Amino acid sequence: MLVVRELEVMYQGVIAAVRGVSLEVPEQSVVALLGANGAGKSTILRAISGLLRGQGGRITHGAVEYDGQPITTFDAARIVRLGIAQVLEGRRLFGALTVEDNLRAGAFAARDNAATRRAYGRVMELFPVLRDRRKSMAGYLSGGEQQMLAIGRALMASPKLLLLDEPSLGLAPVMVQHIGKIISEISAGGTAVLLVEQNAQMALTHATHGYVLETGQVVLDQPAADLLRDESVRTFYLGLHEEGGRANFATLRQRRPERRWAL
Amino acid sequence: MTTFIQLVFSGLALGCDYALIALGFTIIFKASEVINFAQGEFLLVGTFVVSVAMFTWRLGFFPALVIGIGVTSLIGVLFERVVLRRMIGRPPFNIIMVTIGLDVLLLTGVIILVGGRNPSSPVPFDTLSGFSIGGVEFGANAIASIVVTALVCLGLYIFLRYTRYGLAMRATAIDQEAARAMGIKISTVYALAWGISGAIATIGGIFLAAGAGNPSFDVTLGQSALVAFPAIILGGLDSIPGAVVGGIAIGLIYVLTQGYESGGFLGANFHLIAPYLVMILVLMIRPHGLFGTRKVERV
Repeated sequence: MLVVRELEVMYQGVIAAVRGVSLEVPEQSVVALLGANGAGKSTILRAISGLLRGQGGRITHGAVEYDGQPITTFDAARIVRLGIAQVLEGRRLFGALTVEDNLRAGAFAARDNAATRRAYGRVMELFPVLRDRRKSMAGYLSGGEQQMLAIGRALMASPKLLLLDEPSLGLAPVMVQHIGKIISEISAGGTAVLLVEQNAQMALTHATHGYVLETGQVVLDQPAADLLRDESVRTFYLGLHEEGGRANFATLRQRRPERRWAL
Repeated sequence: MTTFIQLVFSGLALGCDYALIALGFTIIFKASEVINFAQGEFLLVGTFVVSVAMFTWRLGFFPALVIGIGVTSLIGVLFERVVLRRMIGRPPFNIIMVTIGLDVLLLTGVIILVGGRNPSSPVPFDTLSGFSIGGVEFGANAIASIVVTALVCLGLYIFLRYTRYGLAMRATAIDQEAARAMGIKISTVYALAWGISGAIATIGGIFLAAGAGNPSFDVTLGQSALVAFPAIILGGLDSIPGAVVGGIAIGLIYVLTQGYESGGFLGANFHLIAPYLVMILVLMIRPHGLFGTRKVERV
């Protein structure tokens, strides 16, 4: 469904944030994109959704294809209409607007009222709490509710592919689990998900496939179940080492992932 | 008492003109965080076009008004398409400088077209018509400006609250990138803001030109829009109700000070600085203005 080929992104014409990344998101799958801060995860999502331009970034090489059609040069509005919606990192709700207005804004690109009504019904099904809070200002919701609204808002465009940027950020563990289940439900409902996460445990539990990114390059590309078992992923992204105990800071320093995966 | 009621009425009418001018500033600021220094000249251009349409082309008031609104909206939209679109993502300060350039361009254009004469004020009613109750004069145009301002506010409210593009404008004002992620085109929102702002400027301009029964106006009309600055600061730069309340407040302060200052120890013409004094006072107590939004955020 989505194919990214040898993508290279530069900021301000000099800073290479993504250096030759290829990845694929098949229909109805959940694909996890893991990596440390600054690895280029969000940049890849913006490159797909067409939001790079407002950030001073540019695709300098490679291509993004959606259903076989190259969309690399399309603007954000056109990409949303094609069926790709992005949930930005940090939720980015319209805080001074009500929950309902946030959802209405999410449906801006929707083709017709019937589609919007269907999407609204689905969002209410996935997030029943939003129904009770639909008249409250989005900025006053709890962190978990805000994340649900952010996802719900993106779903209002009835996307076939959802780009999720760090949905677990700043949430309590219980809520992280809940969001994880929601992601599985979304993909079961026919929407593929490309999931960027720092919480590798959650991401790999719900994903079918995973990519590990480091300084703008893919260093691991395996089915999620294999990544969960991978010793280095366990050590550096799940905080566990071979014996299953917690890795301490000293061993982490000794075994910097860059050293092992450096090309 | 008669004097007081008279002054309050005149102040309200003038305040409505200021409110319309302030609304023009606020709509553009909300959409793009740019203070449009050409707003005063939008006023002048719009009023000039309506005047030409009424007195040279001999059209009625309403067709003339439609033409004036059309021309100023068009200038606003064109400015967005040709100039601002290339500036998206630049610091607001750069864009503000460009609006000053537009201001000079529009003013010079009108000066060339006007030549030496002062164009007649284009208003719906004769500048002297009206009625009086108990010694208080109610000018027809003053009443019209109050009614029209109320209608414009109502229209704007309905547009922003209930329409798809109104919502897009409100969303864009809060978070541009998030709005783009919804498929909202920022350039369309900017064009809308500039178009609406130009239209409102024309309406405000014709009433301001005829203010206090002036039969004609000159090219300094745009500068009178400067009094709307204390109005928008008072109300809060990004607040639409704030612009209306601020405008009316400044109008009242201006006219009441003017009415009562003569012979006072402050001397004549104190009314010229009174709005700015009030602005400074409000800023000292509420730096974001009376209605300006502080960010709603839960940490």
